[in-house]
Amino acid sequence: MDELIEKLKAQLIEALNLEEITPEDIDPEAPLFGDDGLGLDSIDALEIILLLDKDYGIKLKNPAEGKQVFYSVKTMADYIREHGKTA
Amino acid sequence: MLKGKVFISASAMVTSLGEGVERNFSSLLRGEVGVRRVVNPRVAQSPVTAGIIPDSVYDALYERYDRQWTLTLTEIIAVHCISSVLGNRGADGIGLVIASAKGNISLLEGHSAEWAEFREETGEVVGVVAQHPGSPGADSALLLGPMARRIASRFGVNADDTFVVSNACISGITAVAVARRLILSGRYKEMVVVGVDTQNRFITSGFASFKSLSDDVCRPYDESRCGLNLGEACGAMLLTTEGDGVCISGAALTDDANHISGPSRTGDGLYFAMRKAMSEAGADNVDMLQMHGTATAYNDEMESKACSLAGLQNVPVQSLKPYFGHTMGASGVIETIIAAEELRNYILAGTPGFETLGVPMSLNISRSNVELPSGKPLRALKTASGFGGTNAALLLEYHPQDALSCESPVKVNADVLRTVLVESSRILLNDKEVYSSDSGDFQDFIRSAFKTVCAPNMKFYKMDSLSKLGYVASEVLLDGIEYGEEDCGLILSGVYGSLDTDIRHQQIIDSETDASASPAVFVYTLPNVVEGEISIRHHIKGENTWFWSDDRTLSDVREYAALSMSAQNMKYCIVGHIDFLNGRYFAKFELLVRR
Repeated sequence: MDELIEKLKAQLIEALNLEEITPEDIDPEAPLFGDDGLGLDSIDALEIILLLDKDYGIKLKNPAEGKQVFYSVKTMADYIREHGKTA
Repeated sequence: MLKGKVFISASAMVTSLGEGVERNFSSLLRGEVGVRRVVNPRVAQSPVTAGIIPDSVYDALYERYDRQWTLTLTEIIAVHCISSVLGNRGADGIGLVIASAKGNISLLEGHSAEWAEFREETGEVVGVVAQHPGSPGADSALLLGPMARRIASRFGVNADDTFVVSNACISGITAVAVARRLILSGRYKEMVVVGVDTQNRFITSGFASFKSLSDDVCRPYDESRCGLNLGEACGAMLLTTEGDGVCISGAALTDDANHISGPSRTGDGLYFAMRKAMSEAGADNVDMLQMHGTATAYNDEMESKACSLAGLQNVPVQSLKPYFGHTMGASGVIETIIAAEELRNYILAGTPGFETLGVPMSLNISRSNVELPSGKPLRALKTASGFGGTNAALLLEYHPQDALSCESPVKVNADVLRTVLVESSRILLNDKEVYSSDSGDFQDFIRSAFKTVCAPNMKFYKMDSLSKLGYVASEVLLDGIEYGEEDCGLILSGVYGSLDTDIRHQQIIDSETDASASPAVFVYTLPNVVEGEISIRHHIKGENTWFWSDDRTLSDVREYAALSMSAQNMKYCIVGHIDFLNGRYFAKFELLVRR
């Protein structure tokens, strides 16, 4: 079990107010944005940027830059492992 | 339609370019901008590029009007502008409309903990040592209604003749539209319209969290544009039934019903507003177009689409945001004042920084000043768009030869089709209980109510408490009702507005840093966003306006709704009073239908 992926799922659920969703519901490889899945929007993209900055020291300028990074939970985890400062 | 001409008889403004319409207008024509790099802890925790009123201007106004410094920055510039437009006339018989997005929000700084403990019915507050205008209370200057009264009472204008609107970035134009309609209905012969907002950490931290601020002077419609600049200002106009200057002959307010902060991808909401305003004025073309032009990627894109839909892509266009910054509630008024000056002087100021068009549809923009054709009546269309999906348009005309008067006012009669009341863990529809909960806790109550009476919607859980409350109330109200998208409006009112969420935002930036502001919290720090959520859910593209009011009988919003239904040819209008603060809540909505 990938600890970082599980931690990210929990953080996303909290930060994005995904009240009806459990970590089991989130497929780490599925796209986070787009018509299906979690129904995330532009404000959620900004919240994810804030989360990556506060908890992992990653500074993204805007959602456009972040598109590749938070394509899925897995791409986020990979990016964090490569660029982030985890505690 | 509410056909008629309402004249701008006098105007006044205070901006980052200084005091006075003449000074501001001539600065614009010289290409001088008020937006610059600012280091000011009152405005932001770190340097920001914004249009800030110089301290020397404020000092001079306090010296003149308020040596004890009892008024806030927002109030002092409003008092000055109102005083300037009234001149020797005095305020007898005058009505006053004040528009502001965030009013005296800076009074929350240092007081968010007290407000978080405030419980209205007991007046209970914990830990307050000294009374202060921002201290918790239903009459605190932090609230828009009391702020307006502090300003209005300076001129002897009483509460019944003072209207307060807070409609995000279209607040200023909303105020002009409201005043125009009140005058045409015969209620007032003259009204003063004021749009005012000042900058502070609350606002700058919020916009920074949206990554929408530019470090340079903004460049509307340009392919290199990278965001907006914030600004602060006050503008005031004296509107009258007679005159020989510029008049406002059309006004329309619409909603995208698409997203609470992102602009529509099609531009149809803004196009509807433009079309309606022109149609009300009987205008099939215009000589100049002044749009919102904030220089964000999506706003400017959306405006180019709306412009094309309206067939106005060849009309000279400008954005004034590089000169003043985005002055929020003041922008609709100060920019309309400039549009009027441009018509009277047959010259359109250039849009600074414009080089290469960077929007999908064609626009006729110039970096330098453009002469307008003389010797004929001139028309200008002024638009704005804002959070909550709001759009607004005004049609201005200048006929130096013709003396025109208003046509007789139209009366609309409307019946109350349904009423919904949400209070004390119960929901009543037409006085019959449709849901109740044992829980005294709002969060439990509203969630179980949502699951019982609303269709599933994951977005519900992202909303703040005020929006959840309004969402559930409107779901019950509109169940089974059908209407055309533009055929229904939404006019709500309240005392506390978005204060519950404002406190949350202030607490985040106080306990951490401004850089920790949460966009998901900040987006709800405007009282009209609950309307945006309701409109998205129920496809309501007619007028969306929020008034400050403490009248739970709804008589004031019903009266305005009748004017709105007449002006915008709407068959239905939802009116209501809604408040949420620290777990206490009340919502009363009515569905009005035109007879």
